Amino acid sequence: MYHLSSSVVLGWSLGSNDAANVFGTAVASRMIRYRTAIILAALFIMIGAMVQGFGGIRTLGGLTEQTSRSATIVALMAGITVMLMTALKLPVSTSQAVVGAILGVGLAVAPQQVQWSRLVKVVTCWVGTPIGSAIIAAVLYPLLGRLLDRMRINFVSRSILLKSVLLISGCYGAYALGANSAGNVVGMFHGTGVLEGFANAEALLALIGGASIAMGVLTYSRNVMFTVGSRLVQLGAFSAWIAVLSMAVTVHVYAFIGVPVSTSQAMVGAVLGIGLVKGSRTINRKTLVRIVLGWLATPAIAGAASYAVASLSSRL
Amino acid sequence: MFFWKKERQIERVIEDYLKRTESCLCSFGEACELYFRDGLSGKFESLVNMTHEHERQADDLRRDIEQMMYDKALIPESRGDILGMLEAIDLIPNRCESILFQVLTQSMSVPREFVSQFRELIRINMEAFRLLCTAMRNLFGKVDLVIKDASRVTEIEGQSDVIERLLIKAIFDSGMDKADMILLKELVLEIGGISDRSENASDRLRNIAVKRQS
Repeated sequence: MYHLSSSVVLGWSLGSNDAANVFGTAVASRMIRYRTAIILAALFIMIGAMVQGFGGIRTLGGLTEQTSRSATIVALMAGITVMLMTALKLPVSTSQAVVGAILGVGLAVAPQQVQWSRLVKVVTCWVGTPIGSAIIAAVLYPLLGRLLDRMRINFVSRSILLKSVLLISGCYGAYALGANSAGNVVGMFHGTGVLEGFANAEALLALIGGASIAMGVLTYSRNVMFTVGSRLVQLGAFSAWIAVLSMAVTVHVYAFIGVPVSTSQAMVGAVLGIGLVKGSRTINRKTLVRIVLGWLATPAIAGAASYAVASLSSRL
Repeated sequence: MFFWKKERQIERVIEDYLKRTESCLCSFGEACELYFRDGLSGKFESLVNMTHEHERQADDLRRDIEQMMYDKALIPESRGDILGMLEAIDLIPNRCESILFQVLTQSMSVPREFVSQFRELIRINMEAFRLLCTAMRNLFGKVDLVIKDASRVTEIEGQSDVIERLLIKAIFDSGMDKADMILLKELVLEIGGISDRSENASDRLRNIAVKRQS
């Protein structure tokens, strides 16, 4: 079971980074207290992982045949890649690092067992994440905007309403994050027998995945939340709500499909969609280049590192 | 709702602030009336002090509201709107206080023939402020009425401008001492400043209301 410690570190790192996409705006603009936000986020991440996290766990577990040792290499190399790229301030997504690492280990250990069709499905979902989120935001923005205007509510009620829906959407986003990302964290251990002897190993994996992400949110998310949130605050409360909601819906859809995707990229897509509807430029070309770079560089680095370590380890 | 008690609280404190500024305007009106009737007197001085006290209390309430805004009440864009509005409204009780101090410290005297026009000027400027307060209250109630109220303030400010011009002309046609003429002209412009500032504040209100409706 100690093999799972590498997954716990990976989940902790994911939680500390991704909570910003869920509650960043509300916290940075001081609409919701940081403490309230992290408690709610942790709770809903756990619920999401336990209720709907299995799809992602099975998908990542089924990309290639894993042993507990190879799965440890995957989690470790993905974690190191995420930390390294974060330190170098390069764009990074845990989902993409994990998939890259799984592929690297798969190619090194048993290339014939790599499920290329599943990989194509995963990569298609990566590309579909910001695009889907942008479309959802572009549809929701005018629709809910019109609905809000029709309500003709006063200043304070509007404020209360927007704060409430931002809070609810944040909880929903946290649920979707848990449901979607549990697979990233522990999916590589699915089918490895690492939890042999436990009555419901899959549920235990989901619990460990959710708990480690929640731990990252509870212990180390403050700085990222304020940094990412401050950028989104400039959008205004209504747009921020649409962005969080669109991100949550997108990530939740992928949780149903069973493919872990990046919440950050879903958020960028949502902000882009709002910008398209408003006729303003909310995302610059540099950000888009960084996303594409993230798609290519992250899995490539994680894949190369895990390939090297797995090849070395198989010779020992 | 239990979660949003700060929001409800802010509505109440803004109402307290508006009531306090209205009290300030009321004691200003009473002080002016007493001055036109009896000239400078001990009672006038106590009304000046009362105006000053209301203005000070309104300032304290404004600081409380600012503190609540920095303490997470309302959504960010509304915070800026409310703080800007309060700053704009706050200039009006300040102006009332400064007019009374001007009369008191300069021992001014308004000749009998101008008293009725001064009374009308003060009445119309106070009316502009009252309408501004109504518009501000409607921002928290019937937002649709804010634009109508704001237009009415603009209209009254126009009427005040006309009275100011006529009064200044009458003062300079009166053959008074030049220094007295200049002092009276300044007093007219200071009083007219109440409706000018009310109009500025109501323009801000109008923008906030339009933003909410678009």
